[in-house]
Amino acid sequence: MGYYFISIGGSGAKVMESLTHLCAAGLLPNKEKQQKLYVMAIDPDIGNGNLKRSSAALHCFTQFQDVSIGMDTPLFKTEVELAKPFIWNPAEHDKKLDDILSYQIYKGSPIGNLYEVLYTQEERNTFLNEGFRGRPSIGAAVLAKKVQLGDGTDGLRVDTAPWDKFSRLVHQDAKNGQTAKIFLAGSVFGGTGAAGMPTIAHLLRHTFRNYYDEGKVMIGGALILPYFAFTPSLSDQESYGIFASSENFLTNTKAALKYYALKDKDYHSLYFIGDDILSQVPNFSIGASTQNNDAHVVDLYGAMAAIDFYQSTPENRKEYSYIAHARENTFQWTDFPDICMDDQTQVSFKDRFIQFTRFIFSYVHLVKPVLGDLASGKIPSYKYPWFLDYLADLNISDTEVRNFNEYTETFMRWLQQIETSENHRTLELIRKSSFDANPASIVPDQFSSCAYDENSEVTIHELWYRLSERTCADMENTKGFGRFLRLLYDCCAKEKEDAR
Amino acid sequence: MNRSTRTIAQILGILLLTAVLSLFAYYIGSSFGKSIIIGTPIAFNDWQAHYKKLVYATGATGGTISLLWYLLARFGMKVHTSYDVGKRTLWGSLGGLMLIACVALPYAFANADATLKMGASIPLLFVALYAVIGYWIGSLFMTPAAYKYTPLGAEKIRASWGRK
Repeated sequence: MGYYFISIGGSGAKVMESLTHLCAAGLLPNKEKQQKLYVMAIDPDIGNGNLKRSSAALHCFTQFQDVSIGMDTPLFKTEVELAKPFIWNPAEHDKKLDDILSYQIYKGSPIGNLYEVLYTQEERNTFLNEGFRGRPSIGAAVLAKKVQLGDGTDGLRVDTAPWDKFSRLVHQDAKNGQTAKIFLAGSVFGGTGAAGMPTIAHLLRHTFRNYYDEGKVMIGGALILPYFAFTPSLSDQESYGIFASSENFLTNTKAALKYYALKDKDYHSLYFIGDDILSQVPNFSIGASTQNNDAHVVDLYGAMAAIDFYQSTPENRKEYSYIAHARENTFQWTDFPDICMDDQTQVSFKDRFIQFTRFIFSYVHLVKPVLGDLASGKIPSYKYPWFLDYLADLNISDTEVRNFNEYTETFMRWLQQIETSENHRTLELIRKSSFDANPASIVPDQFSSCAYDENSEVTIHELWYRLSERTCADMENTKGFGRFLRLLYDCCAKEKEDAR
Repeated sequence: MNRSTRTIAQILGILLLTAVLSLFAYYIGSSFGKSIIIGTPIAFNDWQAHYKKLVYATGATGGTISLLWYLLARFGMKVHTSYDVGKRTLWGSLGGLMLIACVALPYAFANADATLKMGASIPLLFVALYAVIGYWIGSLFMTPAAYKYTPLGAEKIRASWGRK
């Protein structure tokens, strides 16, 4: 196994979404299929739009990751396993703080009285289905209650799902001499992340304390600092009662950072990622499906932090990372570090990301629009040499095909949001002009120049040609749809045809 | 073999095939000519000399059309979307043009030149050689990869090779 990722709250879910796409692009440091990424989410707001979106990408990926893509390719090289249940809800459904902390039992006792002093009536009587409403104090109490003593030890209850399997896998890794690298991502300024990041890390450390001390378990975390703001309308304020307020973000952050500076001893590596220019979130939401914020470059950096942590070892670990970028108001390829793989090779983030992007673009533009009609015989197949050569026996309703189709849309949406959600900064990674009005389509003329700072020979026509004339590089270990995807990915490499 | 080398090889292949077919057209057509001029005062050598010019013209036209299809498919037609592909209508139109040329050129030459008496066998020979073998069969093997299944029958032929 090796890699573990736990997203905590909405910001954690957004980092998870970015990590999913980087994982599909083969940017995790593991050797092919040698380590799995085990992913779980912690969120009381299970209907959270951010979580739904990132879960969708992740679930799709797990459904098609086993296509026979062959050997010696970074594409889909990291297998992902999802926790069951994938989302762990510490608050349960339709529960108030009073219910979770069994207030009725303690009512009138000194503990009950103390509780009444610490929490307002409104905080105690608010249903927690939409999360902890930006109140870490609520989250901390719930998590401390729910994630509690197990088997007489000070740690997680490892006898219940999904922690039981998580614990078993970590034990397995440690016994096999592998280092289990557990990465947590969440915000420090909201409710769930702010409460969960220190609590879960602390409990993990204590649960696996022997392995932790031996360096067989490492804990890393991406602490997302404020990078967005929102303004609830007066009617929102009246109807929602208590909710997260962006006015408190900086105050919360200051307090949290003080805690991490002075008290935290649980994380091996911590990454603090935020933006001093706050992007304005257009639609205020207290949670549930309407809390669906666009992907942001901060999320991408959060995922890069996870990758940096996964490539570190107990010997070379960093306690704090400081990311600088060359131009204050612009993000460019040189601002993203290369990745050191487990076999000690350096991989260019830029090259691999661009090839993957071009792979998805070409699938969305050239293949997906006609695949259904080709498979059903509605359009003549002679026009599509790649279809006759590789996909003539394709069943369009196969799970892997359906999920890959869906995945491509989630990737396109994510990338477009990353590129366009910046209000004050420019992203010079993939050109905005490459996207058509519909996020799941591209402007064909922009295909070869879709990435900044790259002179590619791969036009749509060139790609068509390559697809029609090349043979899959690994015919032995590939088959069906996987073989075609492998060919398509290889054809998206930027080298000139005659260089081959 | 990289794409540029393959392109040069295929263009040379088309030219070579046209030249070989023209040789066949000349020798087979000459044997037909002996029976065509029976009962006429035309000397066979005279007929053959004029027929040679007809073969040159038809061979040049046939080669040009075959080459035109190849060059259009290789350099002229660009794929931008998954719908502007195939081009079988163009391939068919050029094939039609080839058929017309194979039939029309012999009669046009015969009309212009009384020495070149014409029978139906010569246009049929040209159709068989230039249109069927030179253009159709030739394009099955010598069409750029992006349109390799466009010529009628290419799918079956390539399937029998195991495609690719």
